[in-house]
Amino acid sequence: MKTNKDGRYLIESYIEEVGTQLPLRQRADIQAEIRSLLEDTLEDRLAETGGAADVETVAALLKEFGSPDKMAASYAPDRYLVGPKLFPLFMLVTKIVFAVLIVLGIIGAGIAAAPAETFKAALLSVGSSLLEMFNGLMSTLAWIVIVFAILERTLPEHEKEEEDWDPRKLERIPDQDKVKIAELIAGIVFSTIGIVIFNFFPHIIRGIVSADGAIQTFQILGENFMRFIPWLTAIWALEILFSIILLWRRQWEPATRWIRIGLDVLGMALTAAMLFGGPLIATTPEAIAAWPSEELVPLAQTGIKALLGLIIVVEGISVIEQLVKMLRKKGPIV
Amino acid sequence: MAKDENQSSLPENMTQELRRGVIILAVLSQLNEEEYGYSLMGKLTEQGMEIDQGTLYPLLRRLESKGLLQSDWRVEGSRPRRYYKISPLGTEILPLLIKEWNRLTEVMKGLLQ
Repeated sequence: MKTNKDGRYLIESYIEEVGTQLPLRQRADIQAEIRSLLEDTLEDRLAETGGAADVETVAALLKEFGSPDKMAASYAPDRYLVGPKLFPLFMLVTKIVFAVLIVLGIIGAGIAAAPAETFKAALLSVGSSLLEMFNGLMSTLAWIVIVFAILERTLPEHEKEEEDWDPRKLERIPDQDKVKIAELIAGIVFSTIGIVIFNFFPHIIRGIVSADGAIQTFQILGENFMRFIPWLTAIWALEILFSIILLWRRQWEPATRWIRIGLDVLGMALTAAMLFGGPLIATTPEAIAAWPSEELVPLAQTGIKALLGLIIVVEGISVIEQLVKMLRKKGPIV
Repeated sequence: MAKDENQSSLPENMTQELRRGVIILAVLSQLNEEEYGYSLMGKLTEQGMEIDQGTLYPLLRRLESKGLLQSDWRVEGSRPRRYYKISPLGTEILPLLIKEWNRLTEVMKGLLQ
């Protein structure tokens, strides 16, 4: 049986189109098989109908077989950029690398924003740094995918032995609602120390320098910083009170979780006020003269502000994360 | 709209999933003697097991890659055709599959009563 010229053209075009989407190694074989099937089917069809293998008949036949995409997909094995076996490792590597890059990016954003004189300038600086971080994350992700895609295609098949798996090694899921007593006690101790030092012995917060073999100290914090001490004291006192309540309750509850978020927001607000509230280092001529080098003063100023910026960003992320988890009714990470 | 489409194709998809495992047994059971794809498809259809070419041919290749079938190209008449036949490994495994099929049908009868 010979198909007419137009019919042959359609069959060959179809086979060629399917072939472009098949792995090279199997292409010729699968194409030959499809050709054989098409011709068998066509022959059978023509014997039944007594018609000719014209364009209409062949087109109708090909329509039954489905598009070249569909036909090729039916032959193709499941293809993954990163397959199920490597995917858990891929996710682990991605999470670790992203965590490191995000922490470094946040620190970098804080340092870059520290010299900014106004809130707007700081915001622009942080925005620019975050955009750079995002670009970095995307290109890193692309590289990780490329590496794993190569591994996916080059590593030999290896089935993990089921016998090696021991269910007794599964870790107990920690109770998310249980309070961490050690952390709370440590928080109470440090808050108390902060209140006592900043309220009763602020003069002991001094820099140390060795000059001519003798140890000398110099004033670091200025009057501007001292203005914030009552506010810091209030927040630390609230933290202590809150920790005591938690120690008493022993469990996180929706109300205490919201209070935690509220205290974090208060802390962020105070930190922001300190960040944009003028120099925190003592700037009187006597104080500056006592420093080992005057050049160190702006550096220290920048360092403190960078630290405050970092605290805001980290706390902000923590608050957002907790809010998202609260809204999903999973409870925040505390 | 998309949800409606998904729901309308759901019975079809589930039926296909249900048939997927059965088709392997059906194909293996019919290849004690050599058949080429189209003739096998006709043989299965005659007995009520309709299967489209987009499913049968890839399945034949998969079963061959697993060593359950063997095949060779042969020119018959004006065109080459690939003939499939159950392999020694397939012959060994087929009775086990039939036994499991019989057990499953009994279980399912009980479950669906």
